[in-house]
Amino acid sequence: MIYLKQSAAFKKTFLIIPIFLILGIGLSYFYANQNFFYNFKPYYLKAYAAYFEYASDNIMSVFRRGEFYAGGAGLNEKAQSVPVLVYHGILPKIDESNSEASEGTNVSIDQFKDHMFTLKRAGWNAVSIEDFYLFMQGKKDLPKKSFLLTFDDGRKESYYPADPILSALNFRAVMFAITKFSLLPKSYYYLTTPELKQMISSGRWEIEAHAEGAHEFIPINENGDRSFFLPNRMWLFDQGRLETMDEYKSRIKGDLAAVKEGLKNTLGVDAIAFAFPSGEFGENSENIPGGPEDVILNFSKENFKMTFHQFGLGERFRANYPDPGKDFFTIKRMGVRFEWSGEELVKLLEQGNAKKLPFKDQDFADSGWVSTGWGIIDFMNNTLYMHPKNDGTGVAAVLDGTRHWKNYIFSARVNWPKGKNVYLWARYQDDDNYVACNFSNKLIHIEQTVDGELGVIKGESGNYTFPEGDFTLGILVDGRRAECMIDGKTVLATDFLDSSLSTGGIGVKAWDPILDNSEIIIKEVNVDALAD
Amino acid sequence: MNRTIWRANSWAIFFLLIYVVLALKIITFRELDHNIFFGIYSVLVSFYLLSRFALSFFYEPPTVKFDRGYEPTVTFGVPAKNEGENIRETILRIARSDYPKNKFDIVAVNDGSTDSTLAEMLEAQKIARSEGVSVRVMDWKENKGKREGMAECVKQSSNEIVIFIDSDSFVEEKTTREFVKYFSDPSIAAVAGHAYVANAEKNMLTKMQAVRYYISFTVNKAAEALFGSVTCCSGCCSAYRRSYVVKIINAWLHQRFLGVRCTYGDDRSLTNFLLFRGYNCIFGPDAIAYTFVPENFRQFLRQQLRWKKSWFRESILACTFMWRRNPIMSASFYLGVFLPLLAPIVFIRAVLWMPFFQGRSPTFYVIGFILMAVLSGVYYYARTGDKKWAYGVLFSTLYALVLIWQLPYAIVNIRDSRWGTR
Repeated sequence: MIYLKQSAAFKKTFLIIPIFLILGIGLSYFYANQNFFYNFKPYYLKAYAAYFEYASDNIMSVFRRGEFYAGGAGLNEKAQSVPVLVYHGILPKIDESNSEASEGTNVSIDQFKDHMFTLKRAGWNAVSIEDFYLFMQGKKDLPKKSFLLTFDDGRKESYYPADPILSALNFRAVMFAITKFSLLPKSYYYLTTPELKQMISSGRWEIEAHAEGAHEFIPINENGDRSFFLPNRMWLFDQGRLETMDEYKSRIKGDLAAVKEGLKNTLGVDAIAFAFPSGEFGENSENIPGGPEDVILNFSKENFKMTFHQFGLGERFRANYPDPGKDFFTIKRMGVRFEWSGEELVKLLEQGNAKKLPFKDQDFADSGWVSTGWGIIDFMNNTLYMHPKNDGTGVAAVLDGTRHWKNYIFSARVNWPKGKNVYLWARYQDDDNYVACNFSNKLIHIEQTVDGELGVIKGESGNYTFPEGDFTLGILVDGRRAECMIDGKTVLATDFLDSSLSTGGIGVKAWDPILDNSEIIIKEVNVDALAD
Repeated sequence: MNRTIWRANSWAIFFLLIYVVLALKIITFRELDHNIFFGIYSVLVSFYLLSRFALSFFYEPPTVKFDRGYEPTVTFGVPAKNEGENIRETILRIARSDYPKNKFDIVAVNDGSTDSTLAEMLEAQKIARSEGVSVRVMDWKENKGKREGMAECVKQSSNEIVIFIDSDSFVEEKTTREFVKYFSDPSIAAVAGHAYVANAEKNMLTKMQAVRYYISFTVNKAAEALFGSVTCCSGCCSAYRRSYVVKIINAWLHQRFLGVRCTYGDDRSLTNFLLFRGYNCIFGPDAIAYTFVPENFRQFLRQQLRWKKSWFRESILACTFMWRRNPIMSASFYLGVFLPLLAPIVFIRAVLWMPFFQGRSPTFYVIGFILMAVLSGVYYYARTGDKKWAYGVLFSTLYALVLIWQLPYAIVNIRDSRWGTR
């Protein structure tokens, strides 16, 4: 017996069914997005606001003249180079007075949003790592202003705050995960297996390799001092000795293989990329004489197709240029700093973007001239003013975004107050590969550096006098031919450049054996293309 | 903001809370590391509590079955002890019921009072008689207990319906009609009236009880009534069909449990006997009475302890036959018995064991608890618009902290039959 009035029962059922339906839909939504709710932190709401901000920006753009988000014409051009950004955590806010924060590469949610929105507005788009790999091999064209967005360490507080923003802006991202911490069902700090799977199935994220155990520090001597895992031999306390090179190699080999395998077995991901923990691949070994770069790179090559390291600001070319002939084991990433505003970040990327010929520079400050870290460069009075540090002998700067240049004349109007030598660089690829014209009072050389080996191809001694006022130095590269020029006249030429130096950008160097005694002021730079 | 808008919004909040509760269950289950026992407990508790709301929503006695023109003869039974002048008011309120005067009478039993109760009864008798209502006063020099008093009322009556009213409760004029209309259905043996708290505004404790009463009648009793299986037609105001009660009155009067004569929980016990016989007991939401509740904590705890004891005793007994009832009813009845028994264990695990030995905070347990407490409070507000709702939240908190421990205590002391009243 049920005490139920039938007419009322129908009415009530119809009333309650929609409520149940709404609850049911709400719950299944909750169930499907459990990870998010489970890990929810209030500041993630700012990330979710991105959808509305992007939508309202687009609506507002209807009422403005011109496009709010750059698009159209410029984007049809092909990218010559692609920069890679690396982020770590995205926090509610960064305490800038905290040294911990300023050393780390974390950014705040507001900064991250600013970075991403400013990039989007400037027409930049984040591509997938597969596209990036094809691009690096020269197999795929990407639109100009493409970049690769990467995150290290697989932290929850990078995925959750970033994802809604990436989704709103239609950006892709790569997460370099630490398999030891992430391939677990549960974790407080790191992303877990279910979360990584969810990321993959979102279509926005790709998971690549960061480390198995190699993200941790190891003891490197009997005092128990700790340092990076990959570039150091480990101190074995139980045996009171350092591990042998063979033991070292098998540890490195094992760790790299373990990351690869873990991703494969747990996530079904065939990782193509490996990001060196802390960006370290052996440059700063504490206890391996001669350095372990080769060991680390070789084992990396066994497992991966690309490896990523990090470099600080001021180091040569920021973007990566395709080079089908080479391997891809030192791909450069810019560690994004919390001090940078979105506009500064965009400026840095644009400076690094491939420049077109002919190129003229009379302003210098925003062009992308970067010091090699040796001396000091200033942009006073619209010049490029170069001098060494107090305890230094020389200074060098290269122009970012020129790595792809091929046949050209680079001429610089300069003022040379003091110093023994001035070099114009061409076909600059990196510090180990470039062509230089070396000018001094006693000699003029055409030099080339190939894989770090410096060679003088041709030299002429004599007494050369350079004007006290402005004059022009030049370097021409055309195929295997190089010429050095003073005031437009060729003073030295060769036809025997190394064939590996077929492309590369420009740079300037000044040097004197006496400390702080060289100085050069570049007032104008012109680069004109020569027919191929 | 406009009050009606608030009310409408409070329903939205009510369902939002339900959503959060359910979502929390998903999380809790995960947090428990898939511990099946506690996971299932947690899901069942919420399911049980939420199902009360859903079932009570559907309870609406079919009007065709209950004839408003139906006017059976009625006896009001008022057993009393040391009630003082309250008793006169109680009797006179009954006497002024909107019901034909020749169709009802009143039996007042003075159960060995040592105060003016008898005089008040006789005074009320005189006044009522002048108004044409017959009041019989039974005077016992020695206290025999409430159960004997109630039985005496039944024995003294020759009418079809007996309505028990506590000596500290007052009925409305329409209460009688609201009670008797249900009895045209012969399967019904008892109707629980809807008791409101008369001294609700007195202090915090009575405010809390007011909300508690409202929820336990409109939600818990209504949910049981949907299946004609109200497990306790409360003593303060309930109506019984005399012919059915007579069949079980001796068994009820001499009820023993674990070798001890049962002297408390008479209402729950009487209801139980009728349910056992297969009769139906329902809830009359409009048969309203106002009753006084304990105003100090000590009395309140004693009353709760008596209720817990009788709840345990009668629930165990009801376990033997509830399976014969509607499957939904019997399932929720057994749940309703076992979940409170487990509550202290779960409480200890969540609040003591996990934090101190496993280092896990009881966040989800506490949040879940608060949510359920707020849910009842919001329900009360949505139904009544009364601002005492917050005291309902407080009551649930009190329940968790204090009353939850009473049940084990009551079980241990179940054979201690002292009244422990007032």
